[in-house]
Amino acid sequence: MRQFVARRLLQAPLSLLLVSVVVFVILNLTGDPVTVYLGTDATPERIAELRAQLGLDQSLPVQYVRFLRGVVRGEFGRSLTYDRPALGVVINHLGPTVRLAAVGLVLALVLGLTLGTAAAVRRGTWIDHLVGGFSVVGLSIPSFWLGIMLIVVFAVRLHWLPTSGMESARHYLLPAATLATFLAPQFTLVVRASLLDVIHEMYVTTARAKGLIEARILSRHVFQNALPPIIAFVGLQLGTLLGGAVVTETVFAWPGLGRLTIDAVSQRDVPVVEAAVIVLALGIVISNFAADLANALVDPRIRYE
Amino acid sequence: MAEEATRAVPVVAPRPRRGRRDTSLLLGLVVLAAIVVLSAAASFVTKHDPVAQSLGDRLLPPMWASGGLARYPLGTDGFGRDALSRLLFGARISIAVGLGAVVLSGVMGTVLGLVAGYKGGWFEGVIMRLSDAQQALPPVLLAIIIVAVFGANIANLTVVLAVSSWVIYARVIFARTVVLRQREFVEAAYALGATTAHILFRHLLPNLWGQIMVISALQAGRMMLLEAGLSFLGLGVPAPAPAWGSMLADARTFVFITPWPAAIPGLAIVLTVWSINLIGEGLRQRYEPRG
Repeated sequence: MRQFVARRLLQAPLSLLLVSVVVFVILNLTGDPVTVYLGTDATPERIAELRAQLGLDQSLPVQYVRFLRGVVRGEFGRSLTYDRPALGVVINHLGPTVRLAAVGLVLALVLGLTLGTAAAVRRGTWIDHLVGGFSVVGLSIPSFWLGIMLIVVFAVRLHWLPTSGMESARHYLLPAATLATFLAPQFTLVVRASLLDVIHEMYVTTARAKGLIEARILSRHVFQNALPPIIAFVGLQLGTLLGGAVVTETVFAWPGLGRLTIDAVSQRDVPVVEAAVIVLALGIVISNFAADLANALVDPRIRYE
Repeated sequence: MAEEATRAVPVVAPRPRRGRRDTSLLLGLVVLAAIVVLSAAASFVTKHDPVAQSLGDRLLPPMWASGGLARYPLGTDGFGRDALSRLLFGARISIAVGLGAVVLSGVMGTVLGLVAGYKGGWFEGVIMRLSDAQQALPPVLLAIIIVAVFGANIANLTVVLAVSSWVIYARVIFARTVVLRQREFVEAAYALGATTAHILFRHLLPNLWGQIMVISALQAGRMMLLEAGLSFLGLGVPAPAPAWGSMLADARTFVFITPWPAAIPGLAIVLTVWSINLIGEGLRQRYEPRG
C-alpha cells in the first residue's frame, strides 16, 4: 500500500511539470502579449519597459525556469487586465466553478447509478433498452445547446427560472442540469457495464445458491466488486467535467474559472491563463490520485498490482 | 519467403451476431448516409446561397410554423440567410473536421500505442507519462489555447482536435499490444526474422482493427461536439462560413425573440452525433460481446 501511494505521488508532479511545459511553450510561441496589450500606437520605450518588467527580453529557457520557480512559489505574475496577482484572480473565480461542478457531478452520479443499476438488473428488458436509448441520445446533445434550450423553455417561455447569476439555489438548477445531462449518460453506461461484468461471477451465483435476498447480493457481492472501475471512471471524468463547465459557464454567464480562462485567452492575459491551467491541472491530478487511493482502499487486489 | 510464411491471420475475429444490436448499427448508418448525401448534394437540394443575406426576410420560422414561408423550409437567421442551406453546407465542414480529426488522432495514437506496447522500455515510459499529463489538461481547454494562439481555420481545428484525443487510442492499443505480444504467432514471426515494422503492421495491427473502429466511432461523435463547442465559443471556422456551432452562437442573441434559429442547428448536431454514436454502440456490441 505504501509503495502504491509513493509511486502515484511521484507521478503526479511529473504530469504537472509536463503540463507547465506545454502551456508555457504554446503561449510563448505567439511571441508577445505586450503589443496586443498596449495596442499598436504604444511608444517603443513603453514596450521595452513592459517587456523588461515581464522578463520577456530573456531567452525562452531562462523564461521557463523563472516561470517554473514562480509556479512553485505560487507566483504567476500580475494579471494584465486585472492588475492584481494572477493566482489571486484565479482563486477568486474558483469557488463558483467548484460549486457548480459539484452540484452537477452529484446530480449525474445519482442519475447514472440509478439508471445504470436498473438497466443491469433488468438486462434485456424494455427498461434496459429504454435506458440504453436515452443514454445514446444524451451522449449526442451538445451541452451549450441544451443550456440555451433550457433557458428558452424555463426562463423565456415559462418564467420559472433565472437565465443567469448565482444568488440562490434556483440559479444552480439550469446550469447544473446542463452539466449533469452531459455526464449522466456516460456514468449510466459504465455502471451498467461494470455491474454486468460482475453479476455473472461464480461468487454471485454462490450467494444466490445460499438463498441470500437479492438486495443483499446486489449491495454486498455485486456493488462492492463493481465499484473500482466506476470510481476510476468518475476520477478520469473530472477533466471532462471541468471542460464542460467552461462551456456551460459561457451560456449561463456564470462568473467562474471557465469564463475567466476564455476571456484571458482572448485578451492574451498570459499570467491568468497559466495560473488557471495549472490550478485546473492540479485539481485534476489530485482528484485522480484520490480516485486511485479510494480504489486501493476498496479493492485489495489493486494495492498489490 | 518469410513474407509468405508470416502472413497475418487475425486471431480475434469479430463474433458474427445478428439481431437487435445490428439494427442500431444499421439505423445509425442509414441516418448518417442520408446526412452525408444531402450535404454532398447541397447545391441541388437548395437554391439559396448559404452566405447570401436578405434583410427583409430576417428571423423567419420554419415553413410548418405560423409565419413560415415555403421558400425557406427551415426558416432564416438574424441576417435573413436560409437556415437549410447553411445547415447543409455547414455539415460539410463539421463532417470534414470530425472525420479528419478522428483519422489523424487514430493514426497518431495507434502507432504510438503499438510501438510503446511492443518495444516497452523508455519509449513506453515517455508515452505513458505524456498521456498522464494530457489527462490533467481538459481537451476543451487545450483546444481553446491552441486555437487562440495559432488562429482558427479548418486545418488548425482538425489538428487541435486530433492532438487533444490521441491518448485514448494510445492507451487502449498499448494495453492490447502488451497482451498480444506474448502470443505464439508474434514469436513465430520474430523467429522467422520478420522486421519490427512487419510484426507491428502485418501481425499486431490486423488484430486491433476491431478496437480501433469502436474507439473511432465513439470519438467521431465527441470530435463533432467539440468542434461545435469551439465554433460556439467563437474559436471555430471563421465567419461567414456556415459551421453549426457558430450558427448557434449567432442565434443565441435572438432566443428572446424566436427559438428556431438556435433550435435547428442544435437538432442537426444531435441527429448527426446520435447516428454516429449508434454506429459506435453497434460496433462495440459486436466486438466486445460482454455487457
